[in-house]
Amino acid sequence: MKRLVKYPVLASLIGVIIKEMKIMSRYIGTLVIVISLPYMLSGFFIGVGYTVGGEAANRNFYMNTGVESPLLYLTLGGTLMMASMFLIENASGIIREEQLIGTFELHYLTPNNTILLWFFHAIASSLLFLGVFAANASLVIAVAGSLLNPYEWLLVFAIVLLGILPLAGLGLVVAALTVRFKEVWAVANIVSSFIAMLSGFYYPLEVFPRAVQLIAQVVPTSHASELLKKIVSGMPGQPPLAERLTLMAALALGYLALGKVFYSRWEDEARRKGELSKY
Amino acid sequence: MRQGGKVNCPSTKFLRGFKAGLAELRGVVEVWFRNYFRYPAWIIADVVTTPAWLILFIVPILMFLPREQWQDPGVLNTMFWAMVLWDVVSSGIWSFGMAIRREQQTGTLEALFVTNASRAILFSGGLCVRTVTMFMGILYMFAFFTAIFKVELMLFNPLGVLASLVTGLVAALGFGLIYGSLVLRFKNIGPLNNVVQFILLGICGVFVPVTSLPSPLRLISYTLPFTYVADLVRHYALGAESLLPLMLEWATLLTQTAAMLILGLSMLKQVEHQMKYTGGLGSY
Repeated sequence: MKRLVKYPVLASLIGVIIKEMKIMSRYIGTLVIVISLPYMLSGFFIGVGYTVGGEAANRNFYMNTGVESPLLYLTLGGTLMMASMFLIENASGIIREEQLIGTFELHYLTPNNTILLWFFHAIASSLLFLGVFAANASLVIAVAGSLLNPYEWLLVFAIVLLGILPLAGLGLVVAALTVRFKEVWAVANIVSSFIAMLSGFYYPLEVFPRAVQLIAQVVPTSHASELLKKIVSGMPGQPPLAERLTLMAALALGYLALGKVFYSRWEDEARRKGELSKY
Repeated sequence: MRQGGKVNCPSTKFLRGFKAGLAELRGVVEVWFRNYFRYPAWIIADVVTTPAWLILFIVPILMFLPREQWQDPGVLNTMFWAMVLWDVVSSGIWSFGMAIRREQQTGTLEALFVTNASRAILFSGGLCVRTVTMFMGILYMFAFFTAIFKVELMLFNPLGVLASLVTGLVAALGFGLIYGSLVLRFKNIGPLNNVVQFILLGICGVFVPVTSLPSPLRLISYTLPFTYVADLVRHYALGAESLLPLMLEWATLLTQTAAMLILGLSMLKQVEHQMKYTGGLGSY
């Protein structure tokens, strides 16, 4: 780590990643749930779906979603949903959590840029979910009897990151707006449930009226969800990839900028009023 | 807080038996409701997120049906009542199991254990709150459900549904006592809540009748009271055929509920005794 002092930003990033990994390794049960919940939800939907759909369940699923394997479709959707919820909750609760464990002020005593520091926490969570996604995707793709080539894997990772990282910006907006009311997680819960609903993790967005579909276009995970399912399941009629990736990158920048603006405003005001350590 | 115990709580000092239990219950319920209303954002979040959760859990199931059946009243009503039953089944796990964990985390568990109040009552306050919020939840879920899916709610026998749900909550209390004693014994089993919840939802036929389960699983289903609660709710709300003749089904449900309560109470007592003996009550 000493050698990294030349590069303080990199040193902070590595420090945060190591810290987050250590914390995560302390809660193995949570990690197990994060990995297994998408399968449990898939199993639940498939079980109920087969019962109500009868013999035609698989055919109906294909007709409605364009994907032959419900396990593949639902597990990928579930993994992305977990990632988005985890990220929003973590980013939203970051200030409150640091306050509660008494380390919030310590961050302000370091020369680090705090916004960058909170963003690094989101990167750490995203890396964890890249691993979870890779594991879950490999398994369900193998079960479906196909493979992804290295280029497709790189594309998948890029899409996952572009889909979930911007949510950190949204989390920071929630954090900045709600820290005074001490009920950050309730608001994060509202945000994450509507993001999940509008992302089409478990269904195509065509089930919604046109107006809702348009709103869903500004949710980065809706693009990630559609692209990933098409790439991984090898569905014909790929959406224009370059255009979508550009749009996702623009959304990512927009969300992160929004997070920065809101957090900076809160921070400036809190510094002025001496509220940084008042809670 | 009962007479005879070496405590200095004047409010319940002269009470014993049923009256002491009532006083304890009143105190516990008051604490839980105060806590509940202290965080209004959570109450708002519960209401506001309901449409999102309804869509998230019902639409994926509709994907297995042809598009023209997406507004089938039978399927949608089964899903609606399943969402209500989900709340009943999970109430024991979340309110009772989490009550013990919460007291551990806030450092008040030891203070509670040095009183001679009934442990079952001490940790069941969450279930009282849950009961109230569940019935409120049914009302706003109904409003959102009919608005989103444009379908009339089927409710053939409201009293029958009410009786089944209330019995289900008593069964959840019994299950919560068993689960709570395990929480007390094994401490942090938080993530396990989700797993247990999904297993129960599947095995008790909350979303689909147990008759569609493989026979070895069905045998387990028949030993759990939630199976009959779900079946009776579907019978009274949707007019579905019951698993057993009605009287027999009620008798089975009540017997299993009573057995679960007795088992839960004795397990909690035994675990506390054992933990006191080994000194594990205050370590976590």
